[in-house]
Amino acid sequence: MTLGRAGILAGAGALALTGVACRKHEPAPAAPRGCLILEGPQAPVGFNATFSIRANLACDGPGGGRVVWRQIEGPALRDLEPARDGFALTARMPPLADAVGGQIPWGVVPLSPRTRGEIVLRATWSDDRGHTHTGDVRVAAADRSRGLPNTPVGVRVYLGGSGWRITARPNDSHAALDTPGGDASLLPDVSGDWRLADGGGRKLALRTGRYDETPLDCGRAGCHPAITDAVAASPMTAVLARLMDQRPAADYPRCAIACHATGEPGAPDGGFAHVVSELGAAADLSRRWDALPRDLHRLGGVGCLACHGPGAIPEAAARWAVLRADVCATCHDAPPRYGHVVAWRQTRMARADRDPSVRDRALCVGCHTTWGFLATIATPERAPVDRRPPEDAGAVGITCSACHAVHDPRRPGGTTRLLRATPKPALLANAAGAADVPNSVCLPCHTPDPLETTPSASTAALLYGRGGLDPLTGKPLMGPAPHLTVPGGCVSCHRSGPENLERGAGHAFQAPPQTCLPCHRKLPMNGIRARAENLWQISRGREYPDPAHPVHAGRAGEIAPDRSTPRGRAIWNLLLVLEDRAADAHNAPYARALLDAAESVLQKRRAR
Amino acid sequence: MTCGFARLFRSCAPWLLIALAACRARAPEPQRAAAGDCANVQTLRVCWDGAGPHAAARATGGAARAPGPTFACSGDRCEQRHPRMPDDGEWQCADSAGATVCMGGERAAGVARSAPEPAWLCGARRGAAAGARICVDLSPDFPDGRASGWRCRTIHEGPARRVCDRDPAAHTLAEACDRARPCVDGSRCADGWCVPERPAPACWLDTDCPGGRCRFGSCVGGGA
Repeated sequence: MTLGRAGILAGAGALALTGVACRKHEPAPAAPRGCLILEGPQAPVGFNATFSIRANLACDGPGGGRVVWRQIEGPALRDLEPARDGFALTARMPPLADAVGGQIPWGVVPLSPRTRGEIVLRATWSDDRGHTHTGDVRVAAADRSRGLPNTPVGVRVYLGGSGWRITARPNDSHAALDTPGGDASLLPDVSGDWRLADGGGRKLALRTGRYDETPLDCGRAGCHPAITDAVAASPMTAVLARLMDQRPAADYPRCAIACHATGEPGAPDGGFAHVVSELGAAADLSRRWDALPRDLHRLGGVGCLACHGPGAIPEAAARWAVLRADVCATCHDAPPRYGHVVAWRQTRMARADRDPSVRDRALCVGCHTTWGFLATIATPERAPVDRRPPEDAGAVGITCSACHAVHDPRRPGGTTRLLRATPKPALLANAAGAADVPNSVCLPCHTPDPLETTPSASTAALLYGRGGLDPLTGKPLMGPAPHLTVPGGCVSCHRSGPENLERGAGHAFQAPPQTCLPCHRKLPMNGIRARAENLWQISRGREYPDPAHPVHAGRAGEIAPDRSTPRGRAIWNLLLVLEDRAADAHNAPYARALLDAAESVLQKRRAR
Repeated sequence: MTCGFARLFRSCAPWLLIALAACRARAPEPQRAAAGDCANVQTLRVCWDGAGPHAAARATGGAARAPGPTFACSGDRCEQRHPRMPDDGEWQCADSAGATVCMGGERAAGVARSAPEPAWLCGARRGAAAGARICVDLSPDFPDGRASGWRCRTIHEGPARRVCDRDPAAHTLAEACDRARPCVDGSRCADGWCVPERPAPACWLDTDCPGGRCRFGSCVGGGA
């Protein structure tokens, strides 16, 4: 027995009739209120596809009048055509490229609540006697997608690339590729393995399955027992259980099911909402967590499948995609409420591997690619797994999973926000505060390596008052570290971002000058940067190659100071300051001490 | 709460009983029903003591088990999607004369903790790897609420489901019995009803019970 989407919608009731992301904190209304009833498509309509909405007046009394439509959310619709005094409306969804807002990646196209073409139309009915009624209707072009090649049955997969064809399919499948809007897509109808190829012969292996049929035996000995232990205590695992027990489920925001449980509401994917519809009366969500049936326990919360997808583990060559921010984006890219991904995309970290050369150079991959970073911090007991993307995957950036470890067994207890615990950089090995969890995840890539020829990223050196060298003796030049006592570490200051985001704006990691004001009455204007650049010009006879630091500018060999000499150590100190564009904010006393030490040699030589 | 020896039984027995009841489905060792232990067996309330099982009609009222998923029927076959299992872990289940026996118990990864369903009696599987368990439900769901006349099985290929075929010749636990109406293997006639031996879940196959047989998840006939 299989249920079509319409049957599921009827069965799942309120769970299905919703978008996938809460737009505001208050729960969405259970049903359209007032007299204006809007009937729109409940299943995704497709990109570049035309859809219709009907408006009806359900109350006795005034009739006639007209309905005016206005789009209040989502990418701009095309061809809005009201008819019958506005009681009927047709419109066309934007094409996939417009909804995604950039280049469409090859293979399974990731789609978040923001990029799936979800729109909200507001209808306002009025008559010539001054009566008005208003209602909203939400329509989406597509379901969400993690961009992984293991996908749920019943959820349409959009394909980036051209000339797609199916070369092999599960025996009992009748699904075919669709290209009505110009973009190829496939709606898998059964579980199994698919083989596709694009016009150039490049192959894609898809694995489809239902969430409720996918074993959760990841914790078996020899597989991932430590990860299973770690994830048991994760707030993501228990989010639904926790909230169900805190308040009656009837009050639980319907829209949260899409992100506090596994699966796509409205799709026949064996996800939480789908199984609720199949269970009927046994799925009474007004009960407490313990009283839910087993299969809802397994699908409630953000468990393994919510991020890794159903069916089966993807083929090895395709596993890199789990490191893309697109996996987290299925829930955390729903502005204005969840703006984590929108904010992150504004950062340099999101573009860290935009330059193809940094994806190959061993010196760069550790801090410019997520896979390289994870390989760098791997320990002998946890061997690194090769998650290097294919050459044409383009920029991936330093993504969520670099900083957040949702199931890292090494993550110390009591840490918040699932931050990854990373090894101490050698330079800070004995520094107080180096092990503070809020700081530690930033440190590996923002601390210079003493073995480097030039300091490639000196922020943490400044912050901790470490890394400098006494020009005359060569001994470590240490200084005060006043900002180490700020609770929360780096993100206590680097927490700003777009103002229109309700949550997650801090993932832009901006630290505007106002950040300093709660502690500093006046913004520091100490001229350290100008002093350092001036000293560089005096000593080297040319301008410092800002904004790129020496390693990036390919000038490491040219600049590399000889630290066995007083002059080389002086230049090293100077580079530490120059390398940190916010040296004055991070640690002005230490930056001054470094410049003083550098000047004591470089100015003297010039004077001589 | 402190439990001195003198006051142990008087003060702490209720708490101990509650704690024992809460631990039932996760007990590491075979959970042989102790004297005075009782379980629902279909329409009966069966208690085991030193003299053997005693059966009485189940009282209505009290804490009812939450309703299970409904059956969808076509002709003489009914199918229940998302059948009950002992807990959220990985299980394989089979039906035997009106009881459901499950083997496995591998913990489910990435699932929030929840209390096991108390209707299941569980124990460690004999001779198996640590963590392998056997659980038995003596009162599983049936399409019309009665075990009699149904032959059921759990299918794990594809979507897990319990399929029950109508079979008037099928004999189950909790049927009336006498000399002319013997009970199914592994049960005995007590107070006019077929009831299982005292449950001590530990086996899946007869080979788990050296010298005996595995019936309703418990070793009987010398293998206990």
